Amino acid sequence: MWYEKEADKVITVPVDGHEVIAYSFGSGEETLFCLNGGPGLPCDYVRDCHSWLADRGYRVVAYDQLGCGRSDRPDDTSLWHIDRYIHEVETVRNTLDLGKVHLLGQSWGTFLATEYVLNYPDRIKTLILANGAGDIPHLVAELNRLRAALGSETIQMMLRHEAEGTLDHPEYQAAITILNYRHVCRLDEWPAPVKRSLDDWNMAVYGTMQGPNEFTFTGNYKDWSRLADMHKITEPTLILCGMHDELTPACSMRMHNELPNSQIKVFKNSAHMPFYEEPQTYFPLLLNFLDAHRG
Amino acid sequence: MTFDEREPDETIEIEIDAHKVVAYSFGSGDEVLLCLNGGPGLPCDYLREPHAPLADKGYRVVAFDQLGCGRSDKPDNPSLWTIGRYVEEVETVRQRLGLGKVHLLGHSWGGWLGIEYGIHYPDNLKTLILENTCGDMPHLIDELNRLRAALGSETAKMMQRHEAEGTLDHPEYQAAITLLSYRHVCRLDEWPAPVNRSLDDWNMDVYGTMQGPNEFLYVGNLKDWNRLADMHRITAPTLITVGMHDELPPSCAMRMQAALPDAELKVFKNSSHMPFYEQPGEYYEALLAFLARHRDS
Repeated sequence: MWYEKEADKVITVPVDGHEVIAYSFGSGEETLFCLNGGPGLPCDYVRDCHSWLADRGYRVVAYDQLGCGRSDRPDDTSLWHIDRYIHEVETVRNTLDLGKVHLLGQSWGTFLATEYVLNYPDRIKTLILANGAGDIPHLVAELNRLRAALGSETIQMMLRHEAEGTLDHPEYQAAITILNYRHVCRLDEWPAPVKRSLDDWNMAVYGTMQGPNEFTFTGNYKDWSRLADMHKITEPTLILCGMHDELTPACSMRMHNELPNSQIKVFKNSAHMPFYEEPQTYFPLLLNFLDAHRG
Repeated sequence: MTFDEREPDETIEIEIDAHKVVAYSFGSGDEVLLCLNGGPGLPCDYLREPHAPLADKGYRVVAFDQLGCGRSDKPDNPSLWTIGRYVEEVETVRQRLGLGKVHLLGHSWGGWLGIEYGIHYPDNLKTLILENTCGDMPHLIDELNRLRAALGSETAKMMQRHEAEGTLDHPEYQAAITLLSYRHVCRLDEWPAPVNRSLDDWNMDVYGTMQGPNEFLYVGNLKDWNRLADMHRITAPTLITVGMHDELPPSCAMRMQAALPDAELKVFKNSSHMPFYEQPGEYYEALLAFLARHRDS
């Protein structure tokens, strides 16, 4: 199944006076273009489990979004906005001359992919929305449900630390740790590419757009919802999520209900990273979908 | 009144079973408060420090590092870690220091030790103070399961799975213990220095042999201990104290009160397992009032 591959090409792409670094594996006209989550994460954790699809007849492209990994990290919070990031996606696609792509967004990458496709139509062959949501206020309600499963006293404790801004207290961090192993990645040991991405998280990007942790949305996209516009996306779409996903099956179902040409799969033993938690199920499913929609 | 980390007036080394045990004495006189701290396996710091100031109120306060702990010897011999041997250690300390009849204060595991001592040596007690403790371990274990269950069914499953597989060092398991510790052990945001000192020097061989790997899992040689049926032999006036959020909860305290012929009970509403740090004002008021009513003179 997946293994860590060296990129065949590493390309520097000028974006808004800065440089972002893209990684390309394999060749050909069928390009899987990956938008990872975060925001603020290097692309390692999505890139390194999908790059082996180069062995299956796909060109696989991922890149470190501005502010992340080997890309520039300007100290300018006005850059951290979904409208600028969709322009960055289009710049990378044009610069690498990818043509029409199979666009795979994961987590925050699904917000980005949805917004990109709505603003730049006719650039994709298919859309893959992995572990995502189309409506963040609904997602926030779902996250509150997941938090509530830790018991009413735990919720009180978390709300108190969030109100007082003492999120570094060990008891608050303990609650986040439990939620992470339950709803982010259910593996006892997290894979090396996941740890690499998490260890290099640009929290200025994350804090500006999302919030202080996976279970607290206070950033500039907290009110983002594109469900009402998703009917405009007519390309074949594959929606994927884990049964225990922090971005829950209810979020995926809402996207499925809005998209005219979508199919959905819930991975029963996964949270937010089915490509690592259930690779034997995830990759055949993804390949079947891609193979059915080659250009 | 508050703890002030004062120096002991005397530090006494006592030989017990060819090993050294170190005792600390504050103040003077015939009204002796002899403190038995919890753990097992903890240095006495966390209990000694908040009680040493009672020397200013006319009490001699004595605490000691139980064998295996703190400045006492730490023999590598698990056969020493039994409640029966520790009862004799308490008696030896009382005799060597010439303490006479004492006000015996036992906290947590020190409460079990105090109960066991009181059943064996009832005539050596002026009073008994049972703090944040219980008389019936199987009942306590039921109560701990209730506290664990309040973290939600998925958390309880996760904890049981790691306990079954022996992977207690996994971050998600330790996270659950951290949540429970700040809820049921000490509710202060910052734990006091004497508490951290004791916890940082925990002899886990003693603890693991007698109790278990953590505060919420009892698998050691005390797990079936139950002395409720014999506590009627302790006729000395007894004060039972407990925090409303205590890991050894008020239901445990209530059962001890029912088993003892002469016991009063105080629940501290904003405390868990350490009311002497969590609610010192209310705590000292209750303790000093009790002691004052039971002085000889």
